[in-house]
Amino acid sequence: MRVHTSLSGPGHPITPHPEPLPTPVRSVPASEARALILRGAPGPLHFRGTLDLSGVTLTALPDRLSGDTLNVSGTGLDTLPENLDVGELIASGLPLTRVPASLRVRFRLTLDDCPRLTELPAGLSVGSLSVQGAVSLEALPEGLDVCFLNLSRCDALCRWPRQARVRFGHLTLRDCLSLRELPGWLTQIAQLDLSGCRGVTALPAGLRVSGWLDVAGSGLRSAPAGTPLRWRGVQITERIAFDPDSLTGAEILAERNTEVRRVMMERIGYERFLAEVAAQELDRDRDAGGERRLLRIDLPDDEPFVALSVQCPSTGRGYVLRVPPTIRTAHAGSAWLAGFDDPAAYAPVTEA
Amino acid sequence: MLYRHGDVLVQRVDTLPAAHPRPGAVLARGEVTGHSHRFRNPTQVQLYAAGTDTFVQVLSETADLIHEEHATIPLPRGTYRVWMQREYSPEAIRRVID
Repeated sequence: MRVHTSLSGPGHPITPHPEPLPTPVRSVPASEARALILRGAPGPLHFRGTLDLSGVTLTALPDRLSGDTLNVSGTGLDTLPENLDVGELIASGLPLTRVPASLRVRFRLTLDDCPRLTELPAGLSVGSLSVQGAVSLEALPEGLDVCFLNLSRCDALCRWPRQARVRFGHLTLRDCLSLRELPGWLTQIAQLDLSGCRGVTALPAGLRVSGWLDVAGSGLRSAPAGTPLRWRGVQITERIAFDPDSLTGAEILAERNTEVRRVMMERIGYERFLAEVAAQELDRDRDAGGERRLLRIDLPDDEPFVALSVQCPSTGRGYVLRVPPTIRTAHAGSAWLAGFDDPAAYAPVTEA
Repeated sequence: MLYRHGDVLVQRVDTLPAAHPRPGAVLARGEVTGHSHRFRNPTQVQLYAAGTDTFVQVLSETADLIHEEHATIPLPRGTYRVWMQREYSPEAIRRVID
């Protein structure tokens, strides 16, 4: 074991336990640190590399623990120790209500799915902060300073600090259902995901989004001209986002990108799309996602458009996927999409 | 045994054909969204490339196949062939963009 001391110069003899500070810190590989912590060794302790304690049941960590990457997800810890100082901290799925003001994380702090978290320390400064699924968090701390901020599924989040910074980075607010506005201090950002933020109906006047703005299911009805737009990750035009009534079934059929076509169908609604293009139902049954329909649309001067209308069993999202015009049953359509020319060979045990 | 995870299909096979090991645990990444079909714990699987085919060996009792927008599928220990759903177009059959 290596003993680190930073004492030097006259009047500071090096001793095994010099006092007062600085205190000698044991610097050990993460594997050794893991064994020491599991034996209940006290701090200070410095580890090198990735110290993965995820899934281990822990009641406490040593004070003055420092090192590179620490993962304490799912350990059951309800508090973090004082003076924790690491490059990266992954502390997901914990019953934390707060994190100590003495916490220092240099690069990335992940506190995902900590449902009791209500408080972050004022002046928290870290490269990347993710607190998605912190469903009790109503406000962010004053003076927060980050480059990347992920607040997805923070259902209760409704207040912004008076002063904070998300410096030119990414702000993810997916499904923040209680949000009504964005803060005025947000002036420039690369990527802004407002998908599912039903209550957000306007952007701050001074905000410039240089990369993309995801508006799926948000309350926005417009965006500054020239802002690249997305709909749950899919690059779309302003017209698809904000003027879906102007889309036509024929345009959708002509769209080559399957994801854009799916968003266009979602925007005008499947019923309208299929009615507008006068689809004929060839077959109907059920699969793991629900109702499955094989539809045919005759096209002038072209072979017929035959497509399967299905729903994803995980998201419930509808898809219309084109199959060869020779397909006659919905099951044969699914089988063909999965790569089976013989429908009898297609029988998935699990679909998700 | 056939499993469908969004547009990724995974089918159990008896033997692994002549194939080269491939690093990582990602079966497919969405070209637009950046989301990926991948194994939660990369140490539980070994991927292989055999020509244009992909195979995966599950080395533990089960390995979780995950994706941001799909339910997790636990795959039992074994060898599997992996491929992507296709979609018909009059010009060419091309892979669905996830």
